[in-house]
Amino acid sequence: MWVRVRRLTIIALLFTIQGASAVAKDPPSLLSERDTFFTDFQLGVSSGSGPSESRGWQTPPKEPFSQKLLVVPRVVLAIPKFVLNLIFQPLLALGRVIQKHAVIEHVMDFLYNDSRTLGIVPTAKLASGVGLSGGAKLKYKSKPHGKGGNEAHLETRWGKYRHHFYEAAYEGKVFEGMPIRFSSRARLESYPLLRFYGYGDVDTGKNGPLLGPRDSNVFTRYREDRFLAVLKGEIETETESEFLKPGFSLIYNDRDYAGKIGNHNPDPSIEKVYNPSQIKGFSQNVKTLEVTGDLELDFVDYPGQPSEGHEFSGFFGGVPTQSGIGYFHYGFEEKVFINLYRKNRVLLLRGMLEAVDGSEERLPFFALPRLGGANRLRGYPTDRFRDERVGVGTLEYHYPVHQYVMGELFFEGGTFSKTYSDLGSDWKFGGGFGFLIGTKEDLKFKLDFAYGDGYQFSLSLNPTEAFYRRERQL
Amino acid sequence: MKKSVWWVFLVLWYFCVVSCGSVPTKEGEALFNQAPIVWSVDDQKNIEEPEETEFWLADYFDLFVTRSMTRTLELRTDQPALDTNALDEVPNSSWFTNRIGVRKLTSREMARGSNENGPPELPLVVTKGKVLGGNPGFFVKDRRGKLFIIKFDTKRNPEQETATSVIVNRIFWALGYNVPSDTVFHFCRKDISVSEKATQKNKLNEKIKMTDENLDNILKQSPELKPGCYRASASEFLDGVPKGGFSAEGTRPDDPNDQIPHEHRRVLRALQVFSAWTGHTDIKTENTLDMYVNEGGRKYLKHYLVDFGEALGAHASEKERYEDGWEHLFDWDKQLLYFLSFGLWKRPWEDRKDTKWKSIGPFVSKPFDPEAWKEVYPFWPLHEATDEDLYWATKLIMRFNRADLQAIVKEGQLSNPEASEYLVETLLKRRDAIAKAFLYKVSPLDYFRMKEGRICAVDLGQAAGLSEKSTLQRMDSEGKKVEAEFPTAKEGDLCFPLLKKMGYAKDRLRIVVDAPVQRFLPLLELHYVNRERPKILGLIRKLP
Repeated sequence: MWVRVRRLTIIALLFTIQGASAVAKDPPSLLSERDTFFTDFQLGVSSGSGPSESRGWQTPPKEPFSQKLLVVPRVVLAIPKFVLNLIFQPLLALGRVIQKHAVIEHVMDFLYNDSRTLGIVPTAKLASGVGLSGGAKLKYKSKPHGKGGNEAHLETRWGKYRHHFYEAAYEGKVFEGMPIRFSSRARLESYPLLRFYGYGDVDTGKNGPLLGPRDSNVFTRYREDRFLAVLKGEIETETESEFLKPGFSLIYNDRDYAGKIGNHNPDPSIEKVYNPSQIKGFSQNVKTLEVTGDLELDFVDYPGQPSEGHEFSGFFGGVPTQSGIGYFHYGFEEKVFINLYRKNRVLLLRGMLEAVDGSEERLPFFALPRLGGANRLRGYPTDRFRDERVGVGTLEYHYPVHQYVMGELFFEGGTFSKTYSDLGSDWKFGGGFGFLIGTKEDLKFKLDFAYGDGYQFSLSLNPTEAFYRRERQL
Repeated sequence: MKKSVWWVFLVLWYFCVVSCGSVPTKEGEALFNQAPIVWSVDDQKNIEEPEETEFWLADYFDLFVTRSMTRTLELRTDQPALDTNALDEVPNSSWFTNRIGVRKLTSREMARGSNENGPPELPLVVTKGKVLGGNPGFFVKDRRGKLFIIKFDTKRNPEQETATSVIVNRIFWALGYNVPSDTVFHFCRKDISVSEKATQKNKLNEKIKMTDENLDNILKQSPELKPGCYRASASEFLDGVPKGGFSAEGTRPDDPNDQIPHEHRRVLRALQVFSAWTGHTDIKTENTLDMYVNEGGRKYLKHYLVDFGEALGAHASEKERYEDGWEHLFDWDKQLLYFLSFGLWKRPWEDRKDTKWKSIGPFVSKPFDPEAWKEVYPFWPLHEATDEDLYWATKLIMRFNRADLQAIVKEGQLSNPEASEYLVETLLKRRDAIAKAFLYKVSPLDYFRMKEGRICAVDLGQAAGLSEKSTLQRMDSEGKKVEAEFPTAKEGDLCFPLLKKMGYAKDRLRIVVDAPVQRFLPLLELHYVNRERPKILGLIRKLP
């Protein structure tokens, strides 16, 4: 009897009946009028918490035949599963330890902390075909926390492509109240593996020695050691959606093409194919001072992944004649972003032209505009073509893949020539696909896979910008 | 025949058997015992105090990469849930308490939920800074000495997270889950001070003293109601000792009561439906909590769901992520498909729009596809949900009506009544979309009971308005031939005679939707003992 009473009590507790309440029916009908369920069942309490105890099986159902059949493939696939775990579990364990002890935060705090004005930032760069370079940057900023203020840094880097690199830089407003931001840098560096294919694209089949730069198109390498000093001034007039940045650049270079640095002797050497005396500027201590006026216009909606608007950048100036070298140098690039659909299917049209003007005797080889690489004709290796005038046209389509990833398809054509009248007579085409990684506000980097002169891969932080850090590359 | 042809046949046969294999119940074999239906599971036995578990960032890598790959290699197939009783219902346990599923809850109960002590009573003393979570907050002690976690809205979306956390908390309580007591409340700066002993952790995981300046910095990030006054959500500390979140898979090794792998618990699988309904995309181990409680002299682990503040579109709004609810953060197959389709395919969520209220994220009824719904971070029990699990969960949400939801939404204290009404309307529409998606995946025949020597039941499809008219067909033991037909009454009610055979009986039943479109629904097998006082023993909800 007491068992029954106990059961009834538990049932009453479990299913507290609240009395029927007519509830207005909303479309479609609900079950609200049926207030209480299962009340005619006796309450059973399982003695354990295992799976078989609550189900009430008299004869538990047998495992389906299909499960037995899966035993064999599961055993087979257990091997790659084991291997995956063997690889990843230690990594995961390491990740947990790193987080538990805030290892990254401790290292970062030691090197760089927003609340301090001085910090050390390790740097690393991986470039296609030239390997890894790494170094460190000692940074100073006048204001802790956030943006603004003046900044200075000392940086050093070593690697295969850039054998060594030492830089001192300063950026900031020199005169308070004036909307001009100055940046200056002085740099000592050595590139032991730069490419030279002659001028233009003359393929005569000749392969040196002592060829002139327009005699034939042969892949060679050369080494450049240089001292670079840049002073750049930018006037910023910024509104909510538009951006206009006129400025100027003074770029001083002291180049040396005869130094011997470490064991990085370029191969195949430029001197084995071409006659260095016919390549203007290929000598020791070539000094130039280039002065340009710069203009940047930015009328795009988002800085990271624009969907509408256009961007313009251009410069005009030159190198006053000194030591037998002198020329005019100018270029422009216009990018138009067309929103095709929902601001995430975007067509980018780009046109770029860069040229040098001057007497051939005073025009050094290093001043000639080049084509090829991540920002100029991606289907071709960096510096694949050089001539007095170069132009690139790009058709690029961006589309969404992930919240932080856009896919892209692109097709590019590049042309180069000695004179404007020949420009456009010979085109090089390339195309491919890639990914843009980042947010609408801040694009982190871009991966491109292109086909033109064979397959090319590039990772860039400055997508489709022909004059990105132009002053540092000159 | 060539050898290769034989191989093709063999492989085809193999996969046919694998995909079509089933276990028919043999005639005369008693599947269920005659013991009372289990409505309560004793998983509250005394256990030793377990260790606290932690969830690390590296575990996200495991979710998206390692475990995603190894699960594929496991060739997982549908496994029935293991925490169900003979009626395919979920008994009460340390995980779940049957509430709206078995009885009508009053609007007052719905509004109260697990909240017994009300919001914090002023003044408040800050005892600790909050470390985890995206939104600012801290821990306080109120005038009564009760402890709370205090969280705020963002300036961009005033009222959103505070309202959402309370509204969805009440819904999950009504469904049967263990949840903390969450409330919306208001206070001014003068009502709150920082304890001398208050600490917080810095980014180096070091404990440092918390100061008034720290408090002001947190308050600065929150919208002000009037100068110096704020709206916040308060979550009262749960009884017991926190032991970390429960894992999405397997059992907890230091909890002998935890016998069922979590991915095979229906209460966790059903979150696929409940989370889809409420837009709780942020369901993850970090938003669960095991508490080592002492109840009735027994010390055991009680399992909670916590932190619902990112539901109702708030996560999508906070992260500007309109694919929220449609894709995992890294959804390899979908995102590969997007890449290969070059943007020519309009993704279904691209029509999703913000609401006109900052207090509600893009929580919409269209587009909404319950079958395609996905959480942000893969939570494996959701991936194991079978049709039976989805049906059970759907049945529960169908129990909520407009009045219930109005009472619940009112607890969110949204200042704009239109926004409140929109939420209610959207929840109702999403509920109906879920019913349409999942009710007919199995037999919708439910709530069986013996009445005057007959079996009575309800066709939930008809009750929910999915069909205008339906018929119950009694099938032969093979499930092929119709032996008798019984039309359902209005609202889906029907009663039908028992099988003539005495003793253990298996009644194979099928609902046929007659209108608006004829549709034959899956077979259900009802087991009962036919005697002087017949008794229902159990059921198999979906036969092949």
